[in-house]
Amino acid sequence: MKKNLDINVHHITRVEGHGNIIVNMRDGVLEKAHLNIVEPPRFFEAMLKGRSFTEAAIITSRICGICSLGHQITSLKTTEAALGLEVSEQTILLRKLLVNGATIQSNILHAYFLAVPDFLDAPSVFPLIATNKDVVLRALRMKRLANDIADIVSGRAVHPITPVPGGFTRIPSRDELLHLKERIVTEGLPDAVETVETMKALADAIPQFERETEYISLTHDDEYALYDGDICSSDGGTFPVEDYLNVTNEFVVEHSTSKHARNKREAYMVGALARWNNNYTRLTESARDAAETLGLKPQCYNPYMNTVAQVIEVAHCMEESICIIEELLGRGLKAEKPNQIPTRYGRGIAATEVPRGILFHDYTYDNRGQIVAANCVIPTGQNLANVDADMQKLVPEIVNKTKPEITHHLEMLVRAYDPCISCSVHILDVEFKDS
Amino acid sequence: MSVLTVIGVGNPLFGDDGVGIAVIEALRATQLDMELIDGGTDALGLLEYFADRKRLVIVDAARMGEKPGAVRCFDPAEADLILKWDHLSLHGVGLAEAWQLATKLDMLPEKLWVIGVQPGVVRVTNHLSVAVRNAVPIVVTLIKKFVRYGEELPCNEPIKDNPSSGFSKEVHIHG
Repeated sequence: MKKNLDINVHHITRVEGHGNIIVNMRDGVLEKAHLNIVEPPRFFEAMLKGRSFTEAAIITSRICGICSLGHQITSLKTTEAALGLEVSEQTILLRKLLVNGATIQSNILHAYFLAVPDFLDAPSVFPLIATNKDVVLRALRMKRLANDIADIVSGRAVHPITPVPGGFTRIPSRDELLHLKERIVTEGLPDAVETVETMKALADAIPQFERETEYISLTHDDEYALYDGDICSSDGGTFPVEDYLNVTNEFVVEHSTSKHARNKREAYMVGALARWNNNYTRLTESARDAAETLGLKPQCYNPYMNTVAQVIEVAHCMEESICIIEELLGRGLKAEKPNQIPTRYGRGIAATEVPRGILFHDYTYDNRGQIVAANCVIPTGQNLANVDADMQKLVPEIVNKTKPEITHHLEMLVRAYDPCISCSVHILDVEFKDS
Repeated sequence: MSVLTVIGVGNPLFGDDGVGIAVIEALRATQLDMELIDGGTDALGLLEYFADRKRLVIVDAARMGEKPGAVRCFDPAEADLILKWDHLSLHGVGLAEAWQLATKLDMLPEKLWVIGVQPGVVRVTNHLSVAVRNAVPIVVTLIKKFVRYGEELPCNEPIKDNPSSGFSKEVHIHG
């Protein structure tokens, strides 16, 4: 069938940001299929210039309400690399606990509030409150537990205050950590198991679509890499984080205000599915069992399965958090002061696996400890070329469906990547009736 | 528990979107007995404060069809908050969606007010516009009077000394 198809979905968000899906097909030939998302952190690089090393993480944590912890941790590591600040094992363990909490929080929100409504063919989470209130309450309970991990370790959940370059200004108490562990054991783990069951019941609604691509994530010999590691490509090779520019190879495209990225192919994918494909052997045993239950197998090429990988990670991060707390308590908590005496001034590069994928920060400091150049490469920007490539394969495969069905499949695809769209402004819009 | 919990919402890196945070910082300086929370832009995180607080004020930049700097206090049950959940991403979720969720889940505090400040300049800058900067002490005074003297917040009434407050429109009350 020589089909004509025009899809133009405009999702206008608050200010600069927008995510638009555009598809044009003429006489059965696909002319265009792409997503346009404005990439917010670009604006913040200018704002970092001239700032002192103690301010950088505070600013970057404000880039995004959902990814604030990931930006903050990456910023701290970048500053420490640039200024030669060593941090203690205790600091690293506490930060790993924070990263696990942030991964749980973000993955849960995405799975329950964006993906589950899709799988149930609901327009949003609201209708599900009437039909599946216990599930919605479970999601909020898990989010709260993850927030409490952040609160206890970092002072507050949204924009953490105690993590600073060189360490923490306050260390959680033994009792706080014991209580937190107890809650993860009695509340978090059972909820993670229930989440796997919920996802299993919905698994049939996940579209069957495959496109093999290059998967890029951090990797680490000793653990499922979230906090640190080397860059790993599923097409082969590991690279030091300092060589990130040779991997991200950002380039400008005509249809998007945001840069795209590519490494060995036309596009690559970052995020939970990339982490799964590259590092599944380092997940906890029960997380791997959960993956089997959900039909997630190593080298999965279905981008819609990113949500399933996120759910697996939640199970992993709950167990990992317990292990980290036990290690902290076993070592004995020490009242350390942050190490903030620079041993050098120069360029620092760091990467963290934040929920949406690998995040790079790159700062150069002058000898007064002020930033003269900054670069942030965020996961959503790295995924854009891959989303486009998925769309270009997907549209011809589903072209015989109705236009609303095709649109829905495309929106679901975009949502599966859990993109970060103009995340930084949340102005309330209110209408008052004309008198 | 404090008499009142005040949550400022917004992003100080985006101009007037940061007014809620600026109010929290100004209230902190008064040292009055109230719980102050910097809510950032994680709107769903607000739900965690809703259920177990008695009296809660949320200060946020709000497009209300007024002049920049206009201050307006209202009960969200009595205004049409525009929901925008049909997004590709959770990054579009804001106070309106969080409030709706809390309502449906029966998680609202005993009393909830929103103090909206009409934004003027919303772009990447860490300064408030003059009109919105001038609105900060007006909001602070409203909250101080509530905490210190038990004066009710002036819901849907013009606010004294707020030159931007035009009140051309009335709140649409749901039937």
